[in-house]
Amino acid sequence: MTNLQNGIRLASESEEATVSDFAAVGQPLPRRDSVEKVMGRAQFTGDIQPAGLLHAALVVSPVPKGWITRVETELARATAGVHAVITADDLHAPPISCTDTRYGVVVRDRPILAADRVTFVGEPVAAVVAESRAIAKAAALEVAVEVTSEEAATTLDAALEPSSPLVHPEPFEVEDAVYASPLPLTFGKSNTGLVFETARGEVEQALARCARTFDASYRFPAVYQYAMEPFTVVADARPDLIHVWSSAQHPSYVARDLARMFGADLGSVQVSVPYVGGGFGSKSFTHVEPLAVALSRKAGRPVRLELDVAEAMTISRRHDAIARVRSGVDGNGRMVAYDLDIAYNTGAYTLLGPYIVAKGAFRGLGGYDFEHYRVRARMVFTNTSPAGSMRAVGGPQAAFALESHLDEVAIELERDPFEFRRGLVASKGAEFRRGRTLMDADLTENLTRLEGLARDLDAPTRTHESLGTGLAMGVADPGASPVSSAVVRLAADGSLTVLVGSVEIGQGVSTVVRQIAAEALGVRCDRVAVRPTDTGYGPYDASTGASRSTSFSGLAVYRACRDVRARVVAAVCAEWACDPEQIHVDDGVVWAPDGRSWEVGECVRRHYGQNGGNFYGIGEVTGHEFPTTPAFWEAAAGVARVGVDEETGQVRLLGYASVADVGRVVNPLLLTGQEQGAIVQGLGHSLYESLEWEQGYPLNDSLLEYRVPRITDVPDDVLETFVENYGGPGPFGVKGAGEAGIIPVGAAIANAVTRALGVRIRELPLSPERVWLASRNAGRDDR
Amino acid sequence: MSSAAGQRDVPVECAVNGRSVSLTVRASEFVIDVLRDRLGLTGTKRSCDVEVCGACTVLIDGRSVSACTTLAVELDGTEVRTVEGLAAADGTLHPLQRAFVKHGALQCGFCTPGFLMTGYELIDGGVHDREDIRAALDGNICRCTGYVKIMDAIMEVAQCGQMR
Repeated sequence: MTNLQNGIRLASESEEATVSDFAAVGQPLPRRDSVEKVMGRAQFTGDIQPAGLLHAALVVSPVPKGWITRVETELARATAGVHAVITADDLHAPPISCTDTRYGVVVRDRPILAADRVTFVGEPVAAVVAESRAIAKAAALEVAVEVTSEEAATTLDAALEPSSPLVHPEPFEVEDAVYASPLPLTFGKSNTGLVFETARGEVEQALARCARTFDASYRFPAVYQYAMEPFTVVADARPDLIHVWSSAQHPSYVARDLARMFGADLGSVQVSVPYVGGGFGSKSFTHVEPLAVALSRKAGRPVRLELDVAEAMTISRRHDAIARVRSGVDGNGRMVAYDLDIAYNTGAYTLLGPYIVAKGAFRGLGGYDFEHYRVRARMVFTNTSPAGSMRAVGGPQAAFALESHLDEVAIELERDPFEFRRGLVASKGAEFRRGRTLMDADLTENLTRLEGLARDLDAPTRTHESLGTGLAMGVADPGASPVSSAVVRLAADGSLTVLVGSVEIGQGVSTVVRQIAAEALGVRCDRVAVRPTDTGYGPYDASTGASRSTSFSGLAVYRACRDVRARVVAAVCAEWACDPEQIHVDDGVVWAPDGRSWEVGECVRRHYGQNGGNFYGIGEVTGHEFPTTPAFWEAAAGVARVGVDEETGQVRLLGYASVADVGRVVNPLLLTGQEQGAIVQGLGHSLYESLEWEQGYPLNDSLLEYRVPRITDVPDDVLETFVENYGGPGPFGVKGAGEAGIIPVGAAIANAVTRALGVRIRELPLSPERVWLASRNAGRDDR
Repeated sequence: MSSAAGQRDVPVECAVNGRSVSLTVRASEFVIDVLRDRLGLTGTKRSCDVEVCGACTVLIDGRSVSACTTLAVELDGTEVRTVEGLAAADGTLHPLQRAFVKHGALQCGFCTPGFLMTGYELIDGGVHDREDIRAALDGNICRCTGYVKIMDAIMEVAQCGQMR
């Protein structure tokens, strides 16, 4: 089948590379950007300072739901140092002249500024531009927003009630999207905008036949990504060019929205992305860039909109979720039926919601080859801040239910958790999801590797702590939109410049593509420069996320370098009359079999007949190459060891071991960093993190109240191992990484706590209060 | 209300990374705004604004403080050191900076200046015990690395200092 052709083509690309010893790929090279970052010289969006820069502040909805009756801006306008105050009424008129004021990933439901209805606390209603951020923020407080409040649906439970008030009574225009919704959205009937279903066999009949059945519900909190750089954008809307600097993970997407909304050609919109201070999905897609452009047009000067943490929390967050699992085992104790019904709270706007629930549906099945299964994943609107992307979208929620549930069943059946899962996982090469890519990882081997590694977790517990160890797996279908392109430029001195659309958000893409480029062309890494992403002159890339930078952007860079290498080889072959197959490029020197050589820059100089000139190479990865999805399966598993203080309910992570199938390791230093980061971010939603609202009003919209993992929460024993089977679609057989590692953490920790306490807690985070209450109540039941 | 007092201009003289600086600051102005907006020292990062995350950590007279909540008037007569002042004048990185590079103790790099400044204070003070260092770094948040490599980097330098 087509998938096989795909495999052959990719195998030949990587085979070529495996014959030589890798000079660059596989090496623990320090990050390309680390020196300027430790010197404080790396520029982030908030450090960009065009001449004449003004500063913006938001005026937001004070209520979860209502109709705007009046926005009084006179006082703010009269404040010294204020240049402009805008509301939705100003957007269509010159000088802003919007051609559309709404945008969105799947449907265009998000207004630049709310015009009549407000749908969550924090929704922008007006904005102020002033000489300084302090003046703008002070003036924003002088804008009076009068709203007639309406009854809102502010929690997932409430929004699912048939009698719930509707968040969106009417439909929105469908975005001509890169990210097509798997199903059309429904509006106006209920708050459930979409139900994505995937199934095999007849789960209800199978459950009825099972020897034993199980039924339990699980809850996962709303989580703030907390990229430490809050979302920041600088816009300079000039007559001939809309130039935006943004901490955006999807700059191509932002450029597309801006062109459409401001009546400009894509060629007249430039989105530049300096270093990004963390993303984790929070900076995916268009957020406040259109507002910043509108403000710059109004003020006639460059404008910076730098959100604070409370505002950034309203930009994007992880969906909270409620899941119900019903399962059944046959007479041999094998789980043959699995039914998951999971509702995701997508907040007030759709963002990537449909895509996330569809991803969640598959991630809620893990890598298991259940004979009969069904997942129904619901996307539910509420009057809370919009939920968007976060590391392994939809996965941690569904996997918390799946992997907690498997652990419960294993305990009931008195089965070892490793052995129980080994009996359920899809074997390598199995078509375990109808019509999708065959399982490309050896999950049984992964479990065995992990079991061995977990034996090394031996941190001591404190005397008053109960000890527990828990296992969970995570399998993701990543690689959203495998579309990337790259341009490389070989200069006459033999140095190479790489332009790539994937953004350096800390994941290390600029270092990794440097290694891939060096390897593919045959030059030293220190001769390769990687420029920041810029839609103004750089190549297109669908996104930065979904574990796709190393695999797909990396593949585009690989191909671009092979393109340049072909030109170099052709140049020497024309001169020396030899066979291209016999040419060898190494350390920047092109060698013929008879020992003649040119350095690569010589080829460029001779071609132009001057001391200058460039060879350009282009590399493309298109969606057509991947007839089945996902392009690869990202598989991980983890074992958590915890200590629980039953007196206080406090859970401490004592150690964590993880395994990930990555195809091939390009840079072990960076990869272990990604994996450790995923584990500790997962520790956050497992023990500490939960965004809370009271009647739709945020309760913990500050780092004082929203607690993320600190260095004192992280044990020394964080162990990771990587399986390299060279089976990925990227160059040299790489798969993506960085996401799957977070998926198992919640259940691994919860399963460990269960084994420590003998009581099952089906809701994250495992806060001291929740653990203490569960422990106490269990004690009472025993009596 | 204090806004009138906050508008008051106050002369401040201090040394920033070894250079003497004379400024007139608003009584309500914070150190982070002076460093970033007036002195162009943008290595000091703004994140939480409530002295929880440590991204804006700088040293005032050798002690680490959060620049986001320290009033600029308090700078008068002090010596300030920021991340830009860690490397030698000839550009040679401080051993702690080198250790961060070597160990991969940073990813996005937004928290890095703060960790370096807290780490510098610890090493300068001769702290070398692993748990003491971990406890002292509790006021610096990193969301990317999972902290493991940050501990490795700082411990390496702390223990070198111990041997000297």
